[in-house]
Amino acid sequence: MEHHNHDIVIVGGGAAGLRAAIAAVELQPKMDVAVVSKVYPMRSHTVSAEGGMAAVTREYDNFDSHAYDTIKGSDFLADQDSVEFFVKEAPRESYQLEHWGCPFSRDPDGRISSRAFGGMSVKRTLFATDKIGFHLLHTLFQTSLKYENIHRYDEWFVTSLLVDKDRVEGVTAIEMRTGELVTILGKAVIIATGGCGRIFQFTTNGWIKTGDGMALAYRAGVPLKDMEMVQYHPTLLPNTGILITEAARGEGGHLLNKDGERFLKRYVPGKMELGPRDILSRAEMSEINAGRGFDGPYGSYVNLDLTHLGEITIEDKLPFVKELAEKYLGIDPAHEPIPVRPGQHYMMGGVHTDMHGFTGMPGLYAAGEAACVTMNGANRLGSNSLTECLVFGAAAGRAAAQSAMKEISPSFGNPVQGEAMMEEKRIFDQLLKHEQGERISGIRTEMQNEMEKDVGIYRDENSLKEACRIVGALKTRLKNGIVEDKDHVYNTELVSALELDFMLDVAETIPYSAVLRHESRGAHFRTEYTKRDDAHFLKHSMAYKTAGPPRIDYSPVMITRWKPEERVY
Amino acid sequence: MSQEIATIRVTRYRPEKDSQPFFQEYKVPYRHDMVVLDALNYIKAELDGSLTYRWSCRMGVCGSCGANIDGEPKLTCASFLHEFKDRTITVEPMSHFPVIKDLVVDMEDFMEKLVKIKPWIIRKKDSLVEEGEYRQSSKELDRYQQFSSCINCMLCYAACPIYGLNEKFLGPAATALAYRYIEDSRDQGKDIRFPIVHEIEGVWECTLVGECSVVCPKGVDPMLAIQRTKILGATNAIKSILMPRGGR
Amino acid sequence: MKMETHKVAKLHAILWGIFSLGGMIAAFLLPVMIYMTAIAYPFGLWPFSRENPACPSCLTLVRDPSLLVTGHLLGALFVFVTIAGSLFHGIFRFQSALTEVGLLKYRRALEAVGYFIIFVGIIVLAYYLIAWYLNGTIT
Repeated sequence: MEHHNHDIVIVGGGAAGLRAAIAAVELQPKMDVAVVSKVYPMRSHTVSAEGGMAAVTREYDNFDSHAYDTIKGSDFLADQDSVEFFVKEAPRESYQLEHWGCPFSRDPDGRISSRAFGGMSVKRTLFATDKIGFHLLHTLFQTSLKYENIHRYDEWFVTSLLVDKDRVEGVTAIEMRTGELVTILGKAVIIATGGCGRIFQFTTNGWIKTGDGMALAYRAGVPLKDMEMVQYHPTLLPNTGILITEAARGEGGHLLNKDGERFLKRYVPGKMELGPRDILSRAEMSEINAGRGFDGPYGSYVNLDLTHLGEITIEDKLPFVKELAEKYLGIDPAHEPIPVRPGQHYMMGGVHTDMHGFTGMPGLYAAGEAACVTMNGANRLGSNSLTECLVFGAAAGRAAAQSAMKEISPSFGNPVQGEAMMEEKRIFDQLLKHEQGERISGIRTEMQNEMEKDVGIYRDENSLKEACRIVGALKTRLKNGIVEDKDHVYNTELVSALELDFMLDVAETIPYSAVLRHESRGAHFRTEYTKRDDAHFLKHSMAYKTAGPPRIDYSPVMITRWKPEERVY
Repeated sequence: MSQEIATIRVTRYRPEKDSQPFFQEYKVPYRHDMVVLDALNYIKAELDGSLTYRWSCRMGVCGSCGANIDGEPKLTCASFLHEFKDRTITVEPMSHFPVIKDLVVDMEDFMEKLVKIKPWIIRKKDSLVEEGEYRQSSKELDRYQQFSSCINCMLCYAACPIYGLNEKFLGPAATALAYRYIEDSRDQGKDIRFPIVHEIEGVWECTLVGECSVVCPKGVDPMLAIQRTKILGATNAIKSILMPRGGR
Repeated sequence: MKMETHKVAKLHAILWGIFSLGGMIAAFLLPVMIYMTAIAYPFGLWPFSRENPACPSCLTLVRDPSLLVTGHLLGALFVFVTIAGSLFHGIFRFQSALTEVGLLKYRRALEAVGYFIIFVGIIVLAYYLIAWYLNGTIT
């Protein structure tokens, strides 16, 4: 079997992965870094982020304010030491990105413009019109091309972590172009594969967001933390789930019900459209359930009204919103409101790490949405996630580089060689050889519908238990799933089957974690326990892989200076 | 009401089986708000799991899903079925690229071109991050902003007849990106980048066909970037003759 | 970083400059020239004038189009730029057309022949114009 050797192997080529790669080679120019991504890095889902990235850059702002907003937004489930580290690093990372060429929108004095965002008490969200994710990703990717020691494995799909005596020594990956399974060894592995939105039916996430990295770490024995914390964004296009950025509200857009009323006055009177996402999404559902939504072919919705902003503001500040509304709905947002409904957007939970991206398992790091540091707690504030990718991507890159400097290169002998052979057998001799069985796309659709139905914005004991049961059953069914495409070259169906296998593992942790949290906190809302319960649940859930269903354990929340208080906006 | 149907003819080519590409026809249930990508996804999920194509964001920004649709290079996620006559649509891989499988093309040549133009900020001396951002006016931003909007979907290469004839031609997107850095007030790398774009197979191969700018799904005008880069090349060449000892 | 060498196509850049600028100027001048020689002169329109008994003092700029060249240095330049600019634009565009229709194989050869003809033409033109200007007659 072909094998490659590097100092650091980064799985994922989005914002966190690329930032980690650059951080590693900047710390130690001789560091040999591999970026392994199942898509060309500029296709990574970072590209779809729209609104902006938060950082304290203004005289009127300060770190404590950003930290407090983030912690309050998290419903006090964030680890406050991580948040403090995050807010202090955020400006530095933003300026670094600007120095690398990100085409930020500018104020008249030439500084980076900032806009209002949900849950942020001042304007601190830096932006590049409404395409910050796209620009950030391309800036990082193009900058990464400068470093000869960053080696890319584009369109290589990582299937497993190679572990020797509890130490991660590399990965196995399918080179999609040839269809061969290859091992890529490294002294450290960083997981930066992003979220897993595609386990839900209605999501803003792209096709590639299948939680691969979360599953890789989980299978290797690292816990997935706070997986019940799933963010539902309030403004998705009802048919496709395409995201309409929060910046539309940051720039002054209104949410209206069927009666033309700004209904948020009943839910977040102090913040209105700039309230946090969890509360806004529930507010929309309350309106819809009370019969004050509009009925459409893709379910009930409310309106996002930008007509009062005027064509110029929309053109200058929200050109992508305009493009999306025109292209996918055939409406001009300057003259007509945009129909929206809430849907899955982001995973607060993920691979457990400390604030340097270390997972606790020697040699394994994680950053970005795949990781749970945790700074987002039970609800992430809009525009914190891109900054998070940069701050913790860089931190993980540096930490991995420092650890790699001390380690010797793993060799391609046992046990990793044996593990790789097993993996080859699992994929090519078993999965690909099945001739009789069920099409995987059906299993995937059932998982997505089940997660949507029972692990959505409102949850209760019955729905969650049902989800546990169904996802478990789907896992069994997948064992008999068939891949029709038997070719080796660029077999996307095989990759989809492996992705579904990852997704089911990750999906299972969500209802299992959620069912035990007998409280409502942030994005996790239990209809039978509608209040937050700090006495019992001010703690992180930790899902561990076992031979059976996940085992849920808990770890304490780090409180530094902000005592939990009632969360009122 | 009977279900309306759309007919999708897709190029199939599986190198392990087929010596030649061929068309395969699929019937998919039609909805008015359906894009070509939805039809492909329907085929893959319900009819034929082996159909192979790239996609991800389904909102016109990741750049994965380009194909020749009824002969025109387009993003499959941004082409509605109702735009096509008779609801019969032919989907082929983008022209001018080697095909790996079905609709998946080899993009290594483009990736090499991307690296070649050094798409990063080049400074004589980097400023410290602690000093804050480089100041840039909105006017300075305007000079390069549209050229920074390229999503690398490569439709412009599929549309460019010159690239089809000579793959060494630097081509539209790479030049637009080079020009994006040339025009960025923060960049000081003109002396390094000019020789790259002003090679004979840099901008000079372009004969101003202009299809690149027509097919761009993001409103980038690569032809304009190429023309402006040519003007810079011509003035530099004349200057270097009039002022041989460094008149830049 | 590896050292890379790039050969700047300086000659091509200059040729392109002439093509672009020369072509544009020629496109403006050509209608003027056609107007003068094919319309204004035969029909006696401005700036030419047949004898006008009613108005002996009417301003007559030129009586004969050949004076365009022999009358003034600027006139000679006008003729030169119009003809040379058009020819050059033509050959350069011809070369592009060869590329577009895919005759790459023959391009270099055709290009060389084309440029040779055009340059010879331009030199001959310059020679005659200079001689004409200096002597007032075609030698």
